[in-house]
Amino acid sequence: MQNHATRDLIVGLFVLVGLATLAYLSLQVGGIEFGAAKRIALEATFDDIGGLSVRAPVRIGGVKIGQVSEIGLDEESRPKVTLAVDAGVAISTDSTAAIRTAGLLGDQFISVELGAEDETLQSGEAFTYTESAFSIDKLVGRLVHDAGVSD
Amino acid sequence: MWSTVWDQRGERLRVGGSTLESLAEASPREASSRPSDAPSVATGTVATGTVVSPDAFIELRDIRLAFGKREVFDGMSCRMRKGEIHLLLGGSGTGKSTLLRMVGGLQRPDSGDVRVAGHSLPEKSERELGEIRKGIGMLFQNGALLDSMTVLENVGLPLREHMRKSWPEIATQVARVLKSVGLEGVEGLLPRELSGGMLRRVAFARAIVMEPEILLCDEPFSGLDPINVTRIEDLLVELNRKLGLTVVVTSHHMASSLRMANQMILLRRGGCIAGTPEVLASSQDAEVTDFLGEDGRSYLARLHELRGGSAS
Amino acid sequence: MIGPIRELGAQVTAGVEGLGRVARFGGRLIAAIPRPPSRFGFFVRALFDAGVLSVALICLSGFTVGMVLGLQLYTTLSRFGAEEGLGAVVGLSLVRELGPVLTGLLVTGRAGSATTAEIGAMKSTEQLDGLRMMAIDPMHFVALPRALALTVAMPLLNGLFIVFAIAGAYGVGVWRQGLDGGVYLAGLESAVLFGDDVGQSLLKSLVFGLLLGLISTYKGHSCTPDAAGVARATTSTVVTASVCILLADYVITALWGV
Repeated sequence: MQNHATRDLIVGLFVLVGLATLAYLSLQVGGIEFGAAKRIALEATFDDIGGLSVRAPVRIGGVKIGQVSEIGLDEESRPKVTLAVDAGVAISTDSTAAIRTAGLLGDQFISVELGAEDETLQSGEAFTYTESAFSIDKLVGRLVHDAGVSD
Repeated sequence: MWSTVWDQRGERLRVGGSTLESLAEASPREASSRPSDAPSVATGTVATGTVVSPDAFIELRDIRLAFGKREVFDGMSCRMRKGEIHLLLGGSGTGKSTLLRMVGGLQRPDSGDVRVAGHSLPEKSERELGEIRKGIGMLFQNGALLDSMTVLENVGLPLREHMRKSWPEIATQVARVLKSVGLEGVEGLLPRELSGGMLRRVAFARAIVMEPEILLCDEPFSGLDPINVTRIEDLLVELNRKLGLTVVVTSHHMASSLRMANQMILLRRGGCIAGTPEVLASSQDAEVTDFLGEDGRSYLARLHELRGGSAS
Repeated sequence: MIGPIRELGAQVTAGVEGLGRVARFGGRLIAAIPRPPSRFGFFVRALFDAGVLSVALICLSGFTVGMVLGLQLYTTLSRFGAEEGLGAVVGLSLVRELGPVLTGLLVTGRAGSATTAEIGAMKSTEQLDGLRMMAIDPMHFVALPRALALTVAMPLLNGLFIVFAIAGAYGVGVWRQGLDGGVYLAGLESAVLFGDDVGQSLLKSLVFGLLLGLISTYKGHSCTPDAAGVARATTSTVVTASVCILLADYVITALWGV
């Protein structure tokens, strides 16, 4: 082939710009972290998880510390949720995992309310205290029911 | 593979230098080593183990071929001698180009055998055909130059691909080949910037740049002015006489093709009639006389006189 | 009664035969990859044709699609008082579906058709036979660099499309509708995940590129060598590749698990 310096340069630029957009999407938008902090898996069993879904965030006081990695049923057919939580966060053994709703129609997330014990939960261990989803359906149903009773 | 064929046959066609060097300088060394019209080797054994007679250097046996419902060949057979110029004649649709394509391995017959230098082409894989094709140059009717590449890249492509030469080396060699077809300073042009005649000559240069043993030319003279017809003609004859190049030409340009042909093959109704120009000229076969026409026959008669009846 | 059934059978047979031929063609293409000599120069050239020449179209289309998304979704979301969700909805729909699919369809029309037309024209002017007579495999010389270039160009163009679309939606949402830019970007970044969303996007565009590369070079190589044949093959590339891209999109989405 003869010399096509200009064309080669443009093609090189094209590849670089294309890779840059993909990098932006992966790193900034997609939030991939290189050497991401290790995560531990914690379990929590609820009576009712409402509309909680996989990938829902796990927060302490509003700060994200992990996400829901798996939802299933335990041996007694109760909803069991597995949480992937940053390993560096110390969660005392008497902490509570509560399913909360962001806003009136917003997504559900798990809020961890820390307890007072010195001992912390290790990977694979389960929360002792949990608080199930608080759904508007139930709330409305209860209000209607209460209203009926009081009449 | 191709070169082995020649070595085993005890003949070396590519002696030193290139074909084109010998064209330009016409060194006696080249001339003395040419095997063309010296049938000293009667038969030879090729790599395939079959015996090749120089009489049947290219041989088509009992070829049948149909394109859909149109039958082109119906049991056609012919032989072409090594180192001779063979002229394919016939009206349109008689399969002249198809025959060339079969010899080049581009077209497989429905049945029958095509043998080139002892190799049976229909049973070869595309890769094996590639090896054989390195010894065959082909000039396509409309040039078939790669239209996204310059003249230099087009003509130099086989050198680049198979000889692994550097571009400066290739440029020198390409310039020499182009000069032999009467072109200079066109290396940087794209095929679309060339005239029809120039295009044809560039394609011709590409067909001979690898110094093939066989040259297949599909209508090499159509669209050329008389000067260039003569030039290509002389070049063909020179390649043939000096280096024993076997040439197969289809042409409508009667005068020039008749002048150089050793054998004429007239294709008709699925078969063919073959013979020297003199034999065909004296043929009483209605179809032959019809095809040659009054001009052709009178030309042949004159040619016969010119050659004094001594030419083969 | 027998006629239509036989017709159906013939159609099915032809279809299966066609698939078989494409598969064999693909096999030959893959087998040609490691074979020397390197065709890097041709690959760069093909990447220029398929990629660089599509950049303007992709950027413009991406930006426009983003603007439309911004306008439509903002209006809908604001009815529920959920304008803050704009970034999330725009990002997810673009990264997962609209980016790869629209890029695939646009590149099919822009570069896939051109690839088929070029190879078809080379075939009808005996350039491919010319290569074979020079003992050069047209598959290796012509089809392979082009198919690879389409495969490589597709994910890159997909990235460009998505980024321009995100910018388009930002433009409408933030400047025209008055949404806070930080809210838009935060929604976008928290909703779109690398593994599930960007990964799926990349996989899709890579598969679409492969499909388009295979289909467009196959159609060029197998066309009837005349003007009408090239025209038919070009149309066929656009139709076949578009349908294949949409089907593959469904299959990947379904297999990935939404």
